[in-house]
Amino acid sequence: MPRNTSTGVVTAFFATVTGFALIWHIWWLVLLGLLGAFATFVAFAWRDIDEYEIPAEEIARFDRKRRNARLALISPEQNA
Amino acid sequence: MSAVAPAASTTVDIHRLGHHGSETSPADLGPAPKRIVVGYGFWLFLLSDFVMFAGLFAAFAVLAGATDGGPSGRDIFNTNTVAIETACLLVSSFFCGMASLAVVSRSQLWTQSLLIVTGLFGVSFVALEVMEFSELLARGAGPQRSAFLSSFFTLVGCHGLHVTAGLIWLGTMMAQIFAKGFTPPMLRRFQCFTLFWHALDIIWIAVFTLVYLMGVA
Repeated sequence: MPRNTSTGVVTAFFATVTGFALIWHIWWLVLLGLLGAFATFVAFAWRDIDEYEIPAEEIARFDRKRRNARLALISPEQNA
Repeated sequence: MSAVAPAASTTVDIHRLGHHGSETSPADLGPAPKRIVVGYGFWLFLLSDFVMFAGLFAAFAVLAGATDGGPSGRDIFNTNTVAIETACLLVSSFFCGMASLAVVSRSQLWTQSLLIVTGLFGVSFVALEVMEFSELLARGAGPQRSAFLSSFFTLVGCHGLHVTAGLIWLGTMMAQIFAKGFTPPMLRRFQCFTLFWHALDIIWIAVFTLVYLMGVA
């Protein structure tokens, strides 16, 4: 599974700042916003570990719990 | 088509395209290789980008005649500049292809050198376009002058912005390949970059055909 990251939200923040600055012609803020977005991108791109593994037994355990819960729902009704 | 569909367990794979002779069903094979998933996803992004450019092309096509008494395509387009810009992008794409070969042979020196050349030709393209735009602005033929010029600046400017962003991406990626080497994620990113760079070349061919060549015809 991919590791969680806040890159999207942070980049969206800088994009909003950039858009606001572009509308109001605040050119230094445009530059700051673009640089912030770029820095976020570089930080995200540089990470070495980008995913983690869930062992099959753990997923089987969750699935067994789910199946048993559904069986418990169905069986009493069938026998009713 | 009344042919009887074969049962799943006896599907014939006459060209051995799939599971290299093994008899496992598709359900047991797990997800596709990352390289394929990444490539597919990036193509989806490129197609969405093409859709956006298609909208800009459509706007330009509608507004090409709305010059408001101001300059038309014939008055402002210099086909020599366009020819040099096109050559810059095409040569840049060629060297990008060469860089792909260098990546395949895992040569850091060749990869970086060829990517630098790719970037230099890309920078030349952007520089020429910036010069063309500033000259038009100085003549009063800016995007505010007429609908034709608005749509021209939007379309060609959007392509130029894409090239600029691609150059920034290229520089960052060159630094990363240098720092991290040819790891599988880096190979996937390089694959995405080459797709992006060639796609921009395709868009430019459409731009110079529909905007410049048809504008001065």
